[in-house]
Amino acid sequence: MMIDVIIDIFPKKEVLNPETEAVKKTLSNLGYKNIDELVLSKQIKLSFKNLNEEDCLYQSKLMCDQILVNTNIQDYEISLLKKD
Amino acid sequence: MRVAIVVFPGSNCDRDVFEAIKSISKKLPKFIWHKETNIENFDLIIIPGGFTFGDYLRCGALASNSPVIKSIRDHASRGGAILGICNGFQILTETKLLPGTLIRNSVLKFLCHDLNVIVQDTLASPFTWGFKPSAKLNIPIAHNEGNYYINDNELKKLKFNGQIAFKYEESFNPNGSVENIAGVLSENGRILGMMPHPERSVFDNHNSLDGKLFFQNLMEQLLS
Repeated sequence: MMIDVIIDIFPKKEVLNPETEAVKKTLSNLGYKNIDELVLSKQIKLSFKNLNEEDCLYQSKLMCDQILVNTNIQDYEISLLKKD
Repeated sequence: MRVAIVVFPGSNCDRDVFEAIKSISKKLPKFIWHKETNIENFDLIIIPGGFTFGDYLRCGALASNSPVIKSIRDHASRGGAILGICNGFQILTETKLLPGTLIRNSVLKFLCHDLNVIVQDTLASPFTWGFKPSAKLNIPIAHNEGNYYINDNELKKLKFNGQIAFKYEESFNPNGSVENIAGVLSENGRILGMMPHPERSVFDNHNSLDGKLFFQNLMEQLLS
């Protein structure tokens, strides 16, 4: 069985993100005036083989803390998708 | 004075640093490839600027997991001096040898300027001692991610410890960095990360010779 793990990485709220502000401003210029919050995130998808769910999640978390995420400026969420 | 220059795939200021150190110290620095794991003792290790691993994932993130990093950590734990310039600074923050993170310039542009950095009143450090606090050094910058970010608690610690080495002039903070920070020191003062490129103000055909002053002072301090 394969298990897919999706890691969403997004900037911490307290870190001013100029890229987000620029996209938001452009959307506003295009007439979309009701956007309260816009989040630009990065998604990483991992497909694991021969590993149970618990270990997939555990290894994903280790990877996030070790290299995939800079927790000074980013937060992340891990979710799991089972495939047959 | 034994100086090492660490070279990663995508480093592009390694030769400039080599020429700068060679002309100032009259000795040849040694290039260290990022896959080396057993490096000899050096008085100073320099991580030069560039775009290591294409800046993939985050600037410096992949380089901070290269094999050579273990030797650099060992050198740091022995109190060895390390200088990270530009991408080298980004690598040092990713390895957590220096606090904070370099994020995208607030103007969303790659910036290439001659500007002044102001030496701060710091803890004992070979990188800043020898200069009067508030001395101005004209050293160019060239970066896309030079916006130094650190959270409030850690910023307080930096200030309390005297770990802020250089600031941009208040009227010309090019990248939006917290408190105009251009360079920071480790807690023991032996590691410096800086966004400006001192190796680009060393020779007569450069716009300034203040990078030469910076390196000359550093060598004197390290030898004293």
